[in-house]
Amino acid sequence: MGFYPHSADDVRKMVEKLRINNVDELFSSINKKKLNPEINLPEPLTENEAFEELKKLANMNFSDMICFTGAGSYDHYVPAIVDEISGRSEFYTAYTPYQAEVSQGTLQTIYEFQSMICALTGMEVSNASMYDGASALAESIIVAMNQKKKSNIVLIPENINPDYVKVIYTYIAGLDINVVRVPINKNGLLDINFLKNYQNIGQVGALVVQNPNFFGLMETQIDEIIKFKQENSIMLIGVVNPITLPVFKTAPDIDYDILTGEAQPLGMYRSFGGPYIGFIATKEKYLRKLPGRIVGMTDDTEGNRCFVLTLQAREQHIRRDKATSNICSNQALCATRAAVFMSVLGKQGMKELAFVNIQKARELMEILLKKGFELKYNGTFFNEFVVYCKNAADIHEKLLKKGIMLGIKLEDSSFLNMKDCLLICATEKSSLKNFEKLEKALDEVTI
Amino acid sequence: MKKLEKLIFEKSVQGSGTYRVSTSNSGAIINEIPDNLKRQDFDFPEVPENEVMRHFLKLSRLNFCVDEGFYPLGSCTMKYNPKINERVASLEGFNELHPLVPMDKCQGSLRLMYELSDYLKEILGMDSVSLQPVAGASGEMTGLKIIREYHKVKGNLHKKIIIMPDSAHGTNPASAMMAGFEVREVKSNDRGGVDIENLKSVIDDNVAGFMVTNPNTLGLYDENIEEIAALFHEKDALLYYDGANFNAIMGKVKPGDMGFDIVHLNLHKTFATPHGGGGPGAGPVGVKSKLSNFLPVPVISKKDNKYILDYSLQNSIGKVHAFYGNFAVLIKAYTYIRMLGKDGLRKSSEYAVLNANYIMERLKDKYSVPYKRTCMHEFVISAKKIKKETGISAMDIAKALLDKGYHAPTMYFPLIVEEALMIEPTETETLTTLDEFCQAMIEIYNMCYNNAEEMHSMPKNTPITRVDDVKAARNPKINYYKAKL
Repeated sequence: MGFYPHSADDVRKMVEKLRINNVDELFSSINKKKLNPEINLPEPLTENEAFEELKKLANMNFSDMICFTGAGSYDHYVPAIVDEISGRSEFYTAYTPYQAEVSQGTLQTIYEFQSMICALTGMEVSNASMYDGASALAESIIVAMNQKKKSNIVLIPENINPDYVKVIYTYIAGLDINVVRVPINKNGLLDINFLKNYQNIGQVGALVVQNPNFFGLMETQIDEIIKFKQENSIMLIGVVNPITLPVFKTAPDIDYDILTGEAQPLGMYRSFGGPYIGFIATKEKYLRKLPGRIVGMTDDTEGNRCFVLTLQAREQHIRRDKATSNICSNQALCATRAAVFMSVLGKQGMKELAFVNIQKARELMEILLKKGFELKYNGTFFNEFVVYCKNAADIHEKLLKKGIMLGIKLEDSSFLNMKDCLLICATEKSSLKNFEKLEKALDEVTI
Repeated sequence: MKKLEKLIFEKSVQGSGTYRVSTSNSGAIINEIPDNLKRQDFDFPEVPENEVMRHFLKLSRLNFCVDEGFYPLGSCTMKYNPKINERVASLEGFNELHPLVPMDKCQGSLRLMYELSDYLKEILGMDSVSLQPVAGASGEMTGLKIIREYHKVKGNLHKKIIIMPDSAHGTNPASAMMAGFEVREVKSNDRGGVDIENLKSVIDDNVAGFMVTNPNTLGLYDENIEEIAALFHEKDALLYYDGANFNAIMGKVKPGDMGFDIVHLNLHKTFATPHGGGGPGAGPVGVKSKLSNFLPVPVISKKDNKYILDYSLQNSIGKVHAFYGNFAVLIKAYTYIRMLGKDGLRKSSEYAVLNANYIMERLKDKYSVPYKRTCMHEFVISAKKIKKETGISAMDIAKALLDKGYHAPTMYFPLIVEEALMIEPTETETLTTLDEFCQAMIEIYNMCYNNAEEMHSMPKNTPITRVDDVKAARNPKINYYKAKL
């Protein structure tokens, strides 16, 4: 089945109009020996058959496992209104809003997204979205290092999401940027003494702090970090989980120069890793250094307030090889989902979401401690934490057989290699019933 | 007359939010958080759910979309997005799956990705595919990092130049910059293709690669492509195919057969996944076997009859996405390919090219066509003559089309054509739609000469009239809360 409506009569009329004998004459620029090659693809399907095939594939996945896993992808409830609105053709079948006169829906929505990201982060300006949290961080580092042309070192602690670090290495390959890893202390936080004693400080352009970090811990050494960055005139890049922000301290109390992160928790399904949505927010003085689309407010010729893609002189289609980034298509529909999510939860709902996540994670921690796990790090955590137990890998394996995924094994991570440690996550969706199932299963596997 | 909508912030009334995440008193937990970590003030909208619904519904009505009408936006391939794709991508088995589940728990997703990679290899004439890049530009950066790594492994660190035509998409030079390359341009000839003599004068041993679309951004197929490929391969430079215009040649010719080493596709163009108002897209990258080891990890492999996430590539450039790319977009492209099969894909390109040539033929007496030859899936007209004679610009013509219920063509691109309008109808439009569009274009042409004054004030029937871009950029207002301060 196809989606081309041409009847034989239509084709005849068009071919006649073009004074050709058949459609293949239009392809005469192509080397005849290479034209119409053999292509080995399965036989075509009707819509009905395709649906059955796809259902079969979907059913091969174990999406109904009880999943206490985060590590960059979080199981939050998506309000029905988010699907309802992002499922409207007007939003999902439009292109990038180049023609402002017929794109006010997308443009105003993105303006509201940018504003809500600013309200959440406490920063002054935000762009329209990035591909995901990892690429948003990588591009933030490039922005920061471009501000500090004489420096070529970015400090990256070992408690940053290891997949983000891999993406950073790929992005900076070929550029004059070197990564120095900052060790972590016994509390899982960055080693502030390493920073204080670092010899090559003159070469450092930026410091990255993930807060909460990959282990779920909130950074408590903020005052010392701010002092370090201000004394040495270093760009401070924060990587945050946006749903922590209604409750935890952020800019301007923390002197972040760039705040970035993954907004998947704001209305995106886990969807096997994508599409998600990165965000970048910064101080107004760095506005023109931002990558990607930015929507601004203006007027039309009749004086109506309206919105338009602006500051395009930063972008690839104008500035070409001098652009701030190559990004073109971003994640606009995800930004739309996030805007609806944040609007419907609102001030109260966003706070409750943070509270419930903190609460649930503590309940889950209590269960695990009761069953013999130990906390790897003591500290304030949000909805993730690391537990230790000498046969953690074995327990993890046995629970999987019972339909429970108790976090991820940190020994599997190529950077961390933390044997017998599990990174655990709870969210507002972690029900009492699932906690009980976990307790029962733990009793069975540890005996 | 204008149907504008207030901002969500202007609808906010303290205490009016209705949505609850918790019915119990969840706030007590705040006491367990140390004071020095707590946020003091938090300003955010408070709007009841029904008003949120009305707000975004009203906003949606201010958008034009391809489900509403013809969207001939050149280079963007705004074809119909089959609705089945949305349904299958929202199956719980897909969208409720955590990306880090053990491999035996995600065999359905892995199989889909493995088979999609196979299909794309077939369609492209490539040997390996990565599905990880999430947009065209993301694919470009991936491909260019591969070129960089390839030369690095061979010890050819002097290869620092990427050549591209003067008609290239802006993302091409920007991606080259992000991969640490310098850009060198090659001129176009009078047939819109690469000027071979000029190419010979700019090509040398420092060239790492060549980046091009074929058909190019003029919608023209470069018949010298194999000769061009040979010139680069002589210098051990790699050929990169920007797949933005792949809708012209699906099933008709394989980039691998033209001599390309690396290809990216825009699944959100050619493979009918919706564009979402600016993403999410997907930009898979295919390579010839000598580059297979350089792809981002993981790729999907098959071992002992199981599908696996394979991290074993020796020279991998690393990762370009935290997980495996925009998986939900991949589901849609997979479904599209399964429904169309090879004949459906081939016919799609044939009809896309037929439609473009038909419109060009009907308009060529009114609007000047700078390159007088058969076009592929799109073509460029120039309003230079009209502007000289009437003062009406390409922009005015584009805005007049909005008033007639069409989306505008791509304007002022490629840069080598003055007053350019790039028209891409795609295969999914009926002859009736094409005829009506041509009629609208002819009426607009006549208006340029009969009623130029009116043309300057278009559009009038849209939710807003023309916008003040200069004001937006001079005093940027991009954050409601900042404006309030």
